Amino acid sequence: MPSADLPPPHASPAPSGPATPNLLDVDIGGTFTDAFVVLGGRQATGKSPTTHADLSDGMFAAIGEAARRLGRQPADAFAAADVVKYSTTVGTNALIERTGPKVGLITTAGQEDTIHVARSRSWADGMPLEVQIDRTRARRPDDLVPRSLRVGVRERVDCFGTVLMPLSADDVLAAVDHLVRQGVRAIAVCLTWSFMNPAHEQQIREIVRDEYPDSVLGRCPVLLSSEVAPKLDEYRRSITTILSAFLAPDTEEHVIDLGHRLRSAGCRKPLLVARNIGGVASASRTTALHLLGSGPVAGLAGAARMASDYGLDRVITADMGGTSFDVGLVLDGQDRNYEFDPVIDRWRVHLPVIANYSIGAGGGSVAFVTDAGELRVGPRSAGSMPGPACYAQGGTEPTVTDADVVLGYIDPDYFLGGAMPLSRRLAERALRRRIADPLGIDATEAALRVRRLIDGVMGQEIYRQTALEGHDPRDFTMFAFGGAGPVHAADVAAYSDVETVATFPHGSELNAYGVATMPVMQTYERTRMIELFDGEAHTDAAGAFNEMVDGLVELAERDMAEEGFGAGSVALRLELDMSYGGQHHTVRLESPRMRLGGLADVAAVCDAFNAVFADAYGAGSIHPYGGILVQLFRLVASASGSQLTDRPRLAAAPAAAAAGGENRPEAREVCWPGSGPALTPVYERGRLPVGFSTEGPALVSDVDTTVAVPGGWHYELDDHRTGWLTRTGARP
Amino acid sequence: MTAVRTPNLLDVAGMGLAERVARFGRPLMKPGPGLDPEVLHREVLETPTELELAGADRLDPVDLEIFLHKLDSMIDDGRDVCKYLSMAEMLQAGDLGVGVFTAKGDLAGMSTGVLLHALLHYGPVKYVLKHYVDDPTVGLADGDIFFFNDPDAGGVHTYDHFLMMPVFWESELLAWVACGGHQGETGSRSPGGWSPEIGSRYEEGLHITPLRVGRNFEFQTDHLEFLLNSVRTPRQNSLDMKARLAVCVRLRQQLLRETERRGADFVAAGLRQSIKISAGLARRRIASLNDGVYRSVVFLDTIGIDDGLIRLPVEIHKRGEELVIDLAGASPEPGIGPFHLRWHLARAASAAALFPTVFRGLRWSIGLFDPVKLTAPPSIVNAPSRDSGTGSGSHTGRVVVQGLLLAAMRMLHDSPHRAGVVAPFAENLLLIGFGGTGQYGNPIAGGPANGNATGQGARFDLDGEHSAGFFWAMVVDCPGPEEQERKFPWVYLFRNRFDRDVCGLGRHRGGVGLTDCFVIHGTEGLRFNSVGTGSRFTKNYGLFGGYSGASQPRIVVRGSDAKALMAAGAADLPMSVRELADRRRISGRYEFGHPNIEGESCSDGDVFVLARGSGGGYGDVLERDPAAVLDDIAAGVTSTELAVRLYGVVLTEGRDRVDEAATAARRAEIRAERLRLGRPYDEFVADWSQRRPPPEALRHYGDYPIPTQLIDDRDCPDPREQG
Repeated sequence: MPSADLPPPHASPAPSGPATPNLLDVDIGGTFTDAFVVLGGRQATGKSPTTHADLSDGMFAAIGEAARRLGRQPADAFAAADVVKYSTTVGTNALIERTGPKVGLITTAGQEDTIHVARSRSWADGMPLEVQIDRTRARRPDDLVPRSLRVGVRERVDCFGTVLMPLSADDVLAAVDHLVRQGVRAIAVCLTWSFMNPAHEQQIREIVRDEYPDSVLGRCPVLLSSEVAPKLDEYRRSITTILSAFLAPDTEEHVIDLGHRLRSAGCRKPLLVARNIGGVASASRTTALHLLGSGPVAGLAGAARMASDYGLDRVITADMGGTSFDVGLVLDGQDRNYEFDPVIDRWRVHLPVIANYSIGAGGGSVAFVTDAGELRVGPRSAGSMPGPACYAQGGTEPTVTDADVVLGYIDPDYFLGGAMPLSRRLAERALRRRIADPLGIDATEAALRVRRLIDGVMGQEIYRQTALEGHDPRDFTMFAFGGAGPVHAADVAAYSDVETVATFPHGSELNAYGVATMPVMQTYERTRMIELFDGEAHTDAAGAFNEMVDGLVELAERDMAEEGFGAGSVALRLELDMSYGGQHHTVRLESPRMRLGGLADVAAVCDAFNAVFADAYGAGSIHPYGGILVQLFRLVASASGSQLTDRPRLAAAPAAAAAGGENRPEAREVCWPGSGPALTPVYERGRLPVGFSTEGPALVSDVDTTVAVPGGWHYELDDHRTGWLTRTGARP
Repeated sequence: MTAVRTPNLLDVAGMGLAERVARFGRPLMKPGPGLDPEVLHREVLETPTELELAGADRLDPVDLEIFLHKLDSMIDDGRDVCKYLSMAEMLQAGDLGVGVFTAKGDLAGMSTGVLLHALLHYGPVKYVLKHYVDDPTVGLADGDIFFFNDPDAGGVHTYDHFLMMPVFWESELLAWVACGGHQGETGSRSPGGWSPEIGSRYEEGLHITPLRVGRNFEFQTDHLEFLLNSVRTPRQNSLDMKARLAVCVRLRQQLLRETERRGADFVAAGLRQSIKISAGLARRRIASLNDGVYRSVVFLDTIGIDDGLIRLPVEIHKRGEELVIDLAGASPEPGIGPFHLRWHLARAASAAALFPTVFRGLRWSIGLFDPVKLTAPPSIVNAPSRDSGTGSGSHTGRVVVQGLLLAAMRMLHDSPHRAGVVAPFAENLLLIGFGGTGQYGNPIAGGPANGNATGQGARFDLDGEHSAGFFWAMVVDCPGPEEQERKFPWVYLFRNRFDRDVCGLGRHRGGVGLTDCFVIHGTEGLRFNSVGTGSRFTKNYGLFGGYSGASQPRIVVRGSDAKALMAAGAADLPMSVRELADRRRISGRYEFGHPNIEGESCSDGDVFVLARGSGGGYGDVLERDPAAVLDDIAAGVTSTELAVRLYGVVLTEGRDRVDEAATAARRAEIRAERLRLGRPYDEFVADWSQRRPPPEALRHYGDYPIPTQLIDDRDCPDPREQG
């Protein structure tokens, strides 16, 4: 169990130091809206159901609850706030339900079907593995922009940025005229090689502005791919630009409404928005795409802060809810591990999205037997309606939660603190009819198999994100979140070789806490191929390298100044995507030099790249002989030393709770994999004293979850009420 | 003393199926150094090792499922890493395969990508086990690295390069791993591979049977330099060799980690069990289909060095839980050109037809071949001659697979597995390779992977998807225009713009494939080869009355003024093949030809048009929903003229709606015309039988209409007679 000088999230007041600003941080999730509030150095959390009709209602309710816990009126909280930040999933619905505006696309003539061709196999993007390999039944999603709204204009630029064919203004006018007649409300422009030479895209915007002023056209934004995503690959660049246009109205309307309501409530500070590329930024510097998945990324930031405070440099976050199992990594205290080739919904995008992987595995995952007589669990979920069979809402398909009830992990009379009684009988019946009878086993054995299989699948996902990414899972600590997370954490950890698991009280508020820890941050990217090593010698690439960096730094300083941060309070980090020779794939590294002074600096960057590459793919794979290239520059600017980045530190558990209470466990029969049914002690976490420890098998119950401690595992509660599971026995 | 038998010529047509399976159900090629046909046709599962037997009792269904899930994750990771680290365009696009094998060389798990790669690699593994392990000059040790590319040893064609590595647990051989794919440049007579005009295999570059190129997980410098010195792009090939090695090492480490966790016996037994499970499920699947004989006949229209018809019949004999694929009646071995197919490649190729359809949803391994037998008398599809070129044997294999798919769909349609019914994926593939100097002054040798964006055939209930993938491969990428223009010295005039009226029509239409049109730009020194089939006789067959996808020629415009027209902002540059060919707005010398050409040079400003093929249709065109035809017109893949002429769909004056009355009238008219043209079957057959292709089309065909196959029984003895 690591030592720590700070506790996990908990809704309890405690001093946080005199420098801490008053913070209102909110995560608007699909089901619940959580608030993390710091007022006068004291902290509290609040919770409300998400109010989809008007998201601000839930946000205000959650903040209000937290304020009241601190003995303050909600109005005081708003008036006193120094910073208001939030993460959300709003915008996703516009994508899923295709409720965005009609978008037109202007592209280079001869390439009008780029977004349909995509990468050819893109019908498989964003789909589960079994769909990906089922080419016979391949189905592409409907195009975000139908063919009738994709218009080509004559122009051509080559890979050096040289204009081979001038832009035809006549074509542009005809294209815009066509799109306007079709009723488009936004125009995306993506021309071939525009990230090397954006002149033609800029000319198109000028022509639209000149010929179709707002007074004629109404508001019809023109988004240029060379500004939204100035990177190689016209498909991803087009999609990123189109999605930005598609999601903008809903998101902007929502953010503007929130701003208005906050001001009406007495708040004097601008609203800052958490982004899926990390950090927060003002709403005006945030595109709609940045909000997608920003909640889990905020959670990862919170986990990174907790990892740092526990002195852990390798943490894997595992969040198992009703429908999905989300995995993120914290390495060396940082959450900035980018998803390679990110897919949003069914489309690949050009965004440095912070990696947070999700598979369809949760308490609601449905178990079934295939025609071939094989047991499968998920990815389909019973959802919240009808939900697992034990919910007694009409569901007849057995789920993971049903297995947990039948095996005794979940107390059917104390689910959600007793607020929702479950039916063990219905759970058992579903398992018997759908699993046990077809396989010729009894319901308990069926439940055991369902549990083992889902734990194995989840363990696989962690294995995939660690071992297959070049890490040793044994070096990691798992932070288990979500209602179903701690119930399965130890077994999942065992399948993935992780030896230590942390479970937190009120873990569901992690995202809101994470928002509070996120600094103001801007990220800038540019594709530019620069050779640093030609296969035999380092090159004199310093000039071209520095020119790129200077351009990005200028942008960063301008934008951060507009956010209110002078150059002295902005920390810059240069990241490079690099490769050997003609490799298309790149490896990211933090550049050891911001600018290159000469060949020694060039060599330092190459050495750093070789080292990172060897870490990822083995020392035998490095290949300087093929040449070493920079393919992409990424500058990350974050505000430092400012009021906003004085991150909150969570308070210790209240003395009364920590002091203990009764420690006499109840007991119930639980069926454990490998050892069978056993009368198992059940501890109530809220009544356990700090320092409490026990050996498995045992259960530790809480209002929103239960921690399962199998045999061969040790459980200990630290002084911040974090429960630590440590393996002492053999793996499954 | 062995009795000398007199020659006895047997007529294949007179043999029963069992005899054909016994005599021809194996590679008929002659053995040679490093080549042993025997190892290529062993039963699917070798006898178990002691380790496999010891672990068998430890496997429970859940443990096994989790292990196989992990195995698949490792293999998929290997595929991705190979793509990421490689330099050759085809490898980056996923034209590769990764496999994990039992200790005795049976394929237990395989990646997406090109299915036939891993399905062939048991050959070199079993060769090493049979011939090298006990040879003191070779032997086998932990850390050994073997290279191979000889198609006769278990490669595909010489242009595909592979590495394999044994996995030892302590001192015991536990498994094998292998990885590789389409490299292109292999030291053949033309840069970048694809030499359609070769006379024999000796012009197809390196033929490496399993060769140990490394020990202790490192390449031996002398061996590596020998290989790199034999090709035109040593830097690229060197990088790609390292990529393959990284994958093998990684897979090995992951298998050993799993062994550490679960025990060597568990892992060994798990690998074996994965094959047994697939075999059992395959048998169950076959048993659920109707017994019968299902036939198709397809044709190849070239042997590369010459054009002409090649007959490729396919019969599926389905009885109980087994299938026999019978390729009797094919045209003879031409002896020249690169289109010869070997038995083991034909069997591996059949996966492209069977795995996604008949075996849809089952886990892939060699076990799926357990209930499948393939027999092919000596002919172009089971070529016996050692000298025959096989560089385009995969093209012949593709046509065989089209025929297999057509026959299999007849079997699958009336079954519980109709969801697997699909018309053939586009396969009139035109592949091109360039060699010379790129736009950065760099050497290049290779070609674009745009064949990965061909059209899918129609399904029984759905249209085929446009540009959905590659005939051979399940999940592959097609790089975008920018990615390719960065790599190759050209700019596209059009590429991502679907051509009209090229897909197969039907109740459900096939998907449209890419058509590239590019102008050579930024180089003066390029040579090229192209290879393909179907420019005269399409192989993108329709199904159950659906039309075939169009055939497509290769077009080159020499000495064109395309770049000058671009610089001048010409308003009427062509945006489709038809515009290019019909209007001739671009000046220059137009060449329309079959795809197979070798060693030609091209220069800055030359224009190339390469169509990648569109899928076949399904069902009667008159049953197509008129609204779907309207959608196709809006999407630019169907012209209004064709809609009227073939679909019988008439639009209103504004061309934005279907004129239902006019459509009904037009369809009635077409039906009446069909009735008018209808003839009694016997009359049709009598007339049809009088017809005959021109003699130049039958040069390589054999006897018309069905090639006679007389076999010297000493070449293909019946093992049953030998006891």
